[in-house]
Amino acid sequence: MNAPLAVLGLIVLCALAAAVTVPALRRSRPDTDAAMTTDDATAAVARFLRAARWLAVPVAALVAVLAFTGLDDAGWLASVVFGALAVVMVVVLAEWSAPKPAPDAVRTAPLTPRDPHEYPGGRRLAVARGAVLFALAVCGLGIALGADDGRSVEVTCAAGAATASPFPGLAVVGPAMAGLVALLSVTEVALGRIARRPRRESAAADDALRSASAALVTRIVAAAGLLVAGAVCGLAAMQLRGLDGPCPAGWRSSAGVALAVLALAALGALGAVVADAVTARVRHTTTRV
Amino acid sequence: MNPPIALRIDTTAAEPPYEQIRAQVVELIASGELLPGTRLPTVRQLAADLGLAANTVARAYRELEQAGAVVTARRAGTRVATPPDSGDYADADAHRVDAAADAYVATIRRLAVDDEAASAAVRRALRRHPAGPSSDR
Repeated sequence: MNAPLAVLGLIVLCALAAAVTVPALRRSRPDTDAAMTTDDATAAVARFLRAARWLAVPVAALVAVLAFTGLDDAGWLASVVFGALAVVMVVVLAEWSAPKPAPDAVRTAPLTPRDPHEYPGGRRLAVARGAVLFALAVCGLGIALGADDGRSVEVTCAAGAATASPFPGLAVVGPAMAGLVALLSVTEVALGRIARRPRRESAAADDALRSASAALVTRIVAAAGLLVAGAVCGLAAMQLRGLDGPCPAGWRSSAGVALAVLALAALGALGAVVADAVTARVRHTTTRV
Repeated sequence: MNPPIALRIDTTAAEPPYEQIRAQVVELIASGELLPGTRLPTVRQLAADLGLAANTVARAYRELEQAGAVVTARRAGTRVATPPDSGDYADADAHRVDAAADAYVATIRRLAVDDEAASAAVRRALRRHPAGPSSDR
């Protein structure tokens, strides 16, 4: 399949899947905002956003399976990135279509700006952006080291040549890179949408909902970036170090070690992101109990 | 902790919502609750929170900008304007005086009062409330 077309198709599929499923979730519940108390209305928004988050799981799985099966060698990396993209798109649409306050004649609004970057927190946002940029950088390195066919690595010297595949060259990492760029853009859209969702009277609960959505987005983006970076570094390290042939190991040996260290660092950071998510979940459950 | 400064819009009032937003922001600046440099919410945030069209809020912000009450920069957003240096007052006071004058002018424009009558009304008010020792700067 033509890779650029397939990537475009996957991005459209993510948007379509989110666009079809999230409004259905909205229609399934009657809008009783006008009769609700402030707490009930905030709880209704919370329920809607929670349902949308669960809905993101099958949507992401569907998109990941289609990416995996439709993109040959690139499928395994692309399935991670496009699965994450689908989750973020579902969050965008859920925030956009969340139940809005009933239009009373008298309305109030705080004159305090809501910064899109304040809800995930500076550290989480930096980790998410850093993870995606790191993944893009190692993918770029893979393309630079890879052979012309985009899926192997080749070393030549006076004594002969040696080739190993699969290697994360252009044919393997290209669609994932396109997906990562789209993921960065959609993340900014998502954080903006989270900040702009109409405010509810219960300010603390409202802020907590925004923080939960923003944390989900940044964790998913960070996890996808780190998983791709770790996988690309690990595969490249394995192939560079294991390349048998008449040529001396030379730079390949040190590059392989460096890439293996980077792969371990990426997987360690991924573990920290997962631990952060689990800790937050446990704290949330304890608070509710 | 102080409650956040809020706008209150009555959609059944005779005054259009954009004018209510404009007048309340001017009053908040005049009262010193909104200080120079304070960042205001984006047009889209305020429109979403108030359940109004973005154009309505954009019009209010545009009129505030034309009156010199706020300044909008592409990246910094919309902020309460820093008043020009007026020699006679400290900066914050000058800003409040300008904002109060803006609010007065907006009211007389709405009432279609001509400039001479408006100035005469200010002179009468100044005579009724002569400056005391505390306002001598």
